[in-house]
Amino acid sequence: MAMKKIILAFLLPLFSISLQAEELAIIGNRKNHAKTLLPNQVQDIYMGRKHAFPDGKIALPIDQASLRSDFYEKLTTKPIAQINAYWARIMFSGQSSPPMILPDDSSVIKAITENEGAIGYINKANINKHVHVLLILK
Amino acid sequence: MAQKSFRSLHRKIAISVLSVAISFAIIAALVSFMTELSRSRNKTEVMINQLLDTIEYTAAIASYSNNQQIALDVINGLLRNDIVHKVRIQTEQGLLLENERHTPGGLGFAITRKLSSPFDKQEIVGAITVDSEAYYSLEEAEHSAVMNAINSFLLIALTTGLILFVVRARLARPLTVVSDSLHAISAGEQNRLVPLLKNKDDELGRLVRDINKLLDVLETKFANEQTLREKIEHIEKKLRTIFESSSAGLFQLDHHGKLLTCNPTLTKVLNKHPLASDHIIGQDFAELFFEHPHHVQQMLHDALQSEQLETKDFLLQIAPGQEPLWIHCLLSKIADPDNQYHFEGVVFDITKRIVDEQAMRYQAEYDTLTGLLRRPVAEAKLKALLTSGFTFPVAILLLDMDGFKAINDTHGHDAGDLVLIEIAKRFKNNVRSNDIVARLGGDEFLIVLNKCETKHVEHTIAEKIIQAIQVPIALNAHTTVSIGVSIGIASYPLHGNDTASLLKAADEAMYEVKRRGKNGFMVKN
Repeated sequence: MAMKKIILAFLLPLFSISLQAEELAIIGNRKNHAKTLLPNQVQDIYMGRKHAFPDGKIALPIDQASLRSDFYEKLTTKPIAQINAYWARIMFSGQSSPPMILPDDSSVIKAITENEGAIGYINKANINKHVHVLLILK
Repeated sequence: MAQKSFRSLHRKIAISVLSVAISFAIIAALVSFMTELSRSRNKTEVMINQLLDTIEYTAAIASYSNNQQIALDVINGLLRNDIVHKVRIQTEQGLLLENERHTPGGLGFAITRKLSSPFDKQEIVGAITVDSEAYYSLEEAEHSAVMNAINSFLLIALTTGLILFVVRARLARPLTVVSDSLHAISAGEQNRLVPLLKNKDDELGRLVRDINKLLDVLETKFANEQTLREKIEHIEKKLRTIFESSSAGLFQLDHHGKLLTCNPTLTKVLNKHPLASDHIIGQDFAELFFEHPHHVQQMLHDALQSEQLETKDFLLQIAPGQEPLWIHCLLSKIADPDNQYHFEGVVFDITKRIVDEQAMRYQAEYDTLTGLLRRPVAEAKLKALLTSGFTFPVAILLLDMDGFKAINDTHGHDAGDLVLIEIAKRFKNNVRSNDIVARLGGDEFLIVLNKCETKHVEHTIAEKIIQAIQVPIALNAHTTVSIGVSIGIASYPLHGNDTASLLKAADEAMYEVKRRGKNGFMVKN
């Protein structure tokens, strides 16, 4: 299972090149207390530094295969390879693992609506009323 | 000797070189230690920084993600390096991890590096601090110093050995050769030092040449000195010969008149046994040899006063019955360096001269045949008697032989001479000892009677003479002759005041006797 995720993580950037210009929306469950999040707060959660939102609720970050490299590049200004390397080290220590990866915006939205602490990112265009927008990444 | 000295020269050089070299080696080791310590510290610092560079990203990830395991991996990984003593990672989120080696700490230095977020360089997420392993630097420095010292010592040993070898080969050995050959050469010899082929153009070569020059000079000087010495010896020998074989006695006296030195001739000249030479040194010169020591002492006194060469004749002490011995003495005063004086003198035997002089005087004063005074002497004596202020009378007897010419003609001159000798003897026997008897010439005689108080004396004496002459004289065993005498008498001051008038008066009286028949006497009337 974990191996599969790693392989996926390496493969994903290959499919995301055409989508880079688009704006990404970071979304959470509608019950999420946070109105908005700062980019570094998002980064802390995604890079495994923080495991909870500022209000203390456990956060469950979700990656999306098609937007992953675009997202990390926008968020951290680092290429996805570096992010992968970062996770490789963390995972090697066995103490933590990267966010799970879902295939597309709809599966992300679905996961968020189903989990109160979930946080994910989708194309800005696909925002709907079932999710709460925490941050727009340009 | 020379060999020993050179060894010590050698050793001196070795000790100097070694001590300087060892001092340098110690200083070099110390400097090397300090430098190496500092260099090692710097190197360690650089290496630690490089290590930090290597693990920085991982450490940053660990700090960022607060990942204890990664942090521990980093810490333990760092501790595998010898230069790292202790590592500590502290994260902003409160994680503090540290580990260290089981070595004594301290002395090292710490390098802290801030860890920034892998995603944002501006955000500090923690710090990593590495303490250096001081012992590593110390060991390195120590090692380096020891190696340096060993290197230095090896170099020093090699250099010292080389220097000593070179000194020995280029300096000590040629010096030994020079010294040994010089040692074997005596001053003034013809031997010279062998020139050193290898050292022709350096100080040693020059030294050898200069020594040879000096030896040349020495030899010449020695030869000159030898010649001079021989000359001096020759002169000395001559002088000694003169001194010792001189027919004159040579001597030195101290200022008291004690004998200092003398030649062997002195004792001979001064009528002493030659063996006495040794015993007479230090004795009083005047007392030792002379009949009248005070004369000699007077002469010493005069010499001391006069600054001139004093000459005098002295009579020597003689054994009883010995003929008188005379010496002539020359004496002069010589100043000593210490302002004292001594005397130098020469004596030679003049006994023969004195004797000859006496003989000559005798010949001049006395008639050779009869031994009576000659006419001039007799006249001088008479004159002296008359002018001496005597107040008593003096009688003059003028005697002329009767028949002497006949004896001469008949029996020859030898017989005449024999007669004259005999009558002279008879005259002498009939006058007093202080009366003057002289032969005036031919067969004419003069007798001067001293202190003739009365006529009685002269008459008595004239009578006695006439009696004595009348006794026949034996010419040989068979022949005797008889002779008479005519005597004219004059008296002082009765018949004259001077010789001439007295003789004239006596002559007149004598002719009166001849005229009256000879062989008698008459007083001038």
